[in-house]
Amino acid sequence: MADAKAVDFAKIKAEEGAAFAKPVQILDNDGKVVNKELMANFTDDQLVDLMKKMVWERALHEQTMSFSQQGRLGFYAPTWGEEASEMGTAAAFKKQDFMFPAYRDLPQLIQHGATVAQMYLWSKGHVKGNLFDARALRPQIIIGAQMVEMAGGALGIKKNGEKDTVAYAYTGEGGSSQGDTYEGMNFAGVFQAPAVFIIQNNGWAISYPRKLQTEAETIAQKGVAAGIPAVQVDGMDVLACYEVAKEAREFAAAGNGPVLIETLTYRFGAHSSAGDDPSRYRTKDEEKPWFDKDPLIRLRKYLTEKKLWSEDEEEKYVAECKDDFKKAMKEADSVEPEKVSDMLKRTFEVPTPDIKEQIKKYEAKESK
Amino acid sequence: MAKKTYIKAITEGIDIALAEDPKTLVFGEDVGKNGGVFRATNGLQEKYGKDRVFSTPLAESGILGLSIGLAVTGWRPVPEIQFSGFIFEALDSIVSQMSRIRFQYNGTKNAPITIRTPYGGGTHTAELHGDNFENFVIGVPGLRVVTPSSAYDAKGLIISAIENNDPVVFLENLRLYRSVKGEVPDDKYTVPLDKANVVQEGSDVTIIAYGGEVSEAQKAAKKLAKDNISAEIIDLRSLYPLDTDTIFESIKKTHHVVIVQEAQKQAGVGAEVASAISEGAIMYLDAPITRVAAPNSVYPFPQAENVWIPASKDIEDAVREVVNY
Amino acid sequence: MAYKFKLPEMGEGLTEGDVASWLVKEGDQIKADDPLIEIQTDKSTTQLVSPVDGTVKTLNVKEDDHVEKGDDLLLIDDGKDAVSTNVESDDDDEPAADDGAEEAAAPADGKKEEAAPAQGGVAPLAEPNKLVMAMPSVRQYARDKGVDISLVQPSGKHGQVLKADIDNFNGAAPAAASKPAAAAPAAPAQAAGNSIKPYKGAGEDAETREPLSAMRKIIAKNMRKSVDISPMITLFDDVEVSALMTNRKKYKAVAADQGIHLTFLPYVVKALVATMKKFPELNCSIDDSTMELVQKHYYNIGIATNTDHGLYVPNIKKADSKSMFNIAKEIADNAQAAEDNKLSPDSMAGTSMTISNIGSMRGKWFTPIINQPEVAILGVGTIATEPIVNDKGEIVVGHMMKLSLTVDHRLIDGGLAQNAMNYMKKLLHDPELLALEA
Repeated sequence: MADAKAVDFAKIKAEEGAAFAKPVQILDNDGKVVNKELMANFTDDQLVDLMKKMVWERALHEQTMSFSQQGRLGFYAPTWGEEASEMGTAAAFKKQDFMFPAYRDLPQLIQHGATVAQMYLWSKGHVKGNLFDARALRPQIIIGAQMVEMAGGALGIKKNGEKDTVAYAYTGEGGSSQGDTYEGMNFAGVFQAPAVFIIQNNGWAISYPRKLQTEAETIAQKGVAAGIPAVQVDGMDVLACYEVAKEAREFAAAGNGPVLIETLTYRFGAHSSAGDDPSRYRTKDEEKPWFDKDPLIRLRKYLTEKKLWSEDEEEKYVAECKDDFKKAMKEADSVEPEKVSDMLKRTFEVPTPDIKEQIKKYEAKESK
Repeated sequence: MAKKTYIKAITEGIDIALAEDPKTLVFGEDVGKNGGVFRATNGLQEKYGKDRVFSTPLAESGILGLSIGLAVTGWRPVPEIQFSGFIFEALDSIVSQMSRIRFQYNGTKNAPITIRTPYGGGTHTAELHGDNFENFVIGVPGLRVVTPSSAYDAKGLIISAIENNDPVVFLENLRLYRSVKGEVPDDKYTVPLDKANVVQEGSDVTIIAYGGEVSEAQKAAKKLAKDNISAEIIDLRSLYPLDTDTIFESIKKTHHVVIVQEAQKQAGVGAEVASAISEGAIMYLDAPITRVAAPNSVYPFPQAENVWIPASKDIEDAVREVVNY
Repeated sequence: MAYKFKLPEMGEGLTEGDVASWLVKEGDQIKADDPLIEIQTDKSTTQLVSPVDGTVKTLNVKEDDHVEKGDDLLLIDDGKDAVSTNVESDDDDEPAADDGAEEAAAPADGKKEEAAPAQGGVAPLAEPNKLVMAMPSVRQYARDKGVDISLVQPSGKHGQVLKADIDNFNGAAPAAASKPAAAAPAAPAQAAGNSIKPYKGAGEDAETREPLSAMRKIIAKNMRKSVDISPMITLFDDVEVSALMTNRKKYKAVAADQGIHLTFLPYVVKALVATMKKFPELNCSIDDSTMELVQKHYYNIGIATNTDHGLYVPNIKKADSKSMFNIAKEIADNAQAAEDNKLSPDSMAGTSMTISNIGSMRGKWFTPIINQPEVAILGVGTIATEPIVNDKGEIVVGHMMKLSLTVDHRLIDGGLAQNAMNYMKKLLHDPELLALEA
């Protein structure tokens, strides 16, 4: 009996994952340079700038959590632990790029031009939170929706003939399970649109772990299905995140079609400020190695050794940042609540007859 | 003037929109070279090129999500969903995204998207190819929902829909594509998005219908006229917003009303019209508000369509009951 | 001078929890962003932090206390003059002041709704002609023509009145309805409660305004409601009660020995009970939710009692089984309890029919409003000394007790009401008969 086989499925499966499970890294956990050639791409100023961005993001997280616990904010998704992934990638994009953020991407949106006060207004639930001076949509709530919309944005940019411009979107590894994420990548691929898809794999979709999110060994390999280049990057290494995002952006902007980036990071805190408690679904043992990978530690070590950064400097900077955030909160607090009549007025360009009547009714109510 | 089919009128309308605004984009499954499975976009890719008129991969959510991204980068998308039975794959884009954009950005962004999709039945298509979508969308704030019943309105309405700066769901009645013909001017004209049309005047009863049921109402009216029952027929054209002025004016005159819809009776356009009448014109009624609608079953397999879809006889019977109440 | 830290919403509808632990104590110096307290919600334990720098003055809740959004958790001395807080009070969340007042000062109908045995809790129909079937257009047509649609004979296929029926209506009641047309036609009354129109006054100099007191609002609401529910007719009559006066004079001293003040009211209570036994329609309610007649088999006679803080109707329970003296005592006790605001809900629950007495103020006739969900109310006026013609045709001095009987015309027609009145008069005229019958 011959039992020759045409296919070795187990081998195929292993190879599919292995092809992508090679995260790009420049600085390791201990702040040692592991890729000298890439390190050479960075000037000292750039390194300090990236450090400051991460320190800023962590300070923002801390202050925002505090405001949240004071009952002064609405929905807020903590970003603690994801500073390298968020600031590294965000720093690679330009003002003219169109950003499609999700709700955990407020820091990148602020880097792209929104103000902290506007983000606080967004959290409190006020239309002024969406009226930022940045080429971006508001943080998307429906996970995956931003991915198809971004494909359209990228196609629009291409059709506009805009040079050196891309669209980019963020989601998490949970979002990668949405059909829309695939549809977005597939559409962008088919239309060769200048799109950068960034999946921040932070290990947890609320209480659902990465390993149950997909049988694929990496999220990056999902790019293969859409025929688009993809890469995995150490999401706790801000330099690697920046470098990869910059190169992805250049590739897409040059008319080569979309790119997918998976950043390996970790959500140190809760899913959101609305009473999520990670101790219900994960252990300290699991968290520990990730805390060792804290993106601030490694760059701080590297820069301190080089005398480019000090604890004093960091402390001072954190205090400065927090002052700014407090001012932003005050500004957000001072904004008048929205009127229902105004909300009705902006439902259509030309209000429909029923809405016209309702505007009158609410204007009368609200003028009292 | 040449007589043209309902679908030819739609093609002409899209053609004019493409010609007038270079930002107009037409796309969807098979709409490019193939001209759409119904040929609604026939010849348009040839005329305007692959950049403006193109086919997409087979993914409804992708198509409407793409439309949103195109809208916020300055384009005027006219996506086609091949059959409204397939549109539920893309409901998030419609209900949670595009309908809210003007609201979310206080008018600094908008979504001038016209979603074209065939609806209704009576053509013995495969399962889920015929269905009624209107009941689902009329309750979504920020969306306009229109449907023409004649070739003339089809052209004028599609142009208005595309020119409108808010999302419009443009429902094309499947049965009417080639069964309805009418005088359609070659040039551009528009039909307003929020005005009902008094198709025929009458004095004894108001029949309110839309889409494929307007011609059924006309057939019923002819029979009723033989018995000296004079029916006024209103084609809603716009399912949201409702043109209540036209409806109330008619009821003040006739004191009787029958509302006709092709869709299932539950929670539908007819229910909305009936409550508007209850609020605004109940004092003029001499008989209860009556609805003629499909029964509350799942949309039937093709063999049962003929009985299931309300026909002129059903309308006629309902009118007789109402006027002799 | 202080910062009131209240429980904020802790995200996505988490508006309550238990105090897990205090992280500060009174007297602690704290800085903004310092943790204050841990709240255990049904999702997780949430830490709340201070929005201000200052000194903890008072902790207003204890560990394990259940707290809800807006509850004062602690007071922080933040060195400022103004009092500020982290949670703005939300008017919609507060119970309307009126509702609270209603609970406190029992409404004029004397009982909480659930205590009433026969009340369906259904909103009253504003349309008194509710059994008339007609399309709205026909009702409007009838109103425009000044026709009481309830009198029109319907000819519609569905038993409804048609426009043609209104046109053919000659103003006479149909033969079938032989009830006396005592009720005033309801036409122009048109449920005034339906449209609230602002009062246009003579101007600020000539008039002043102040908010209606909570008590007045409740009385207004209840009176309005009663009128909406019941089309009422009131019969006026009087009865010669010389014999009753003699009887009372005779037993007053006996009562006084027992510490009881014997008034005329116990006699009226007894006479009313006897009348209700003979005319059980008076001892009913209508359940609007089911359109059922509820016949009561108990005789709890309500006595309308006016106090500074509201109108109350405590009742004499099982008045049919109590002696005159007992009734007299209970009336006095109840009046005192009402005055002291000590009436129990039970003492006002389950009334059969109510007596309203204005005789003590020398009033004669009036139109008492039914205490819902009852269907009749007896108004007792003064006993006036008047010339009357006696059986022999002589003019003599009579002592005339004034009676006003209001009935719900939905259930009780004028004829029946008058028969009941006549019977009651007979009893009040003749205390010996009263003693036998009651």
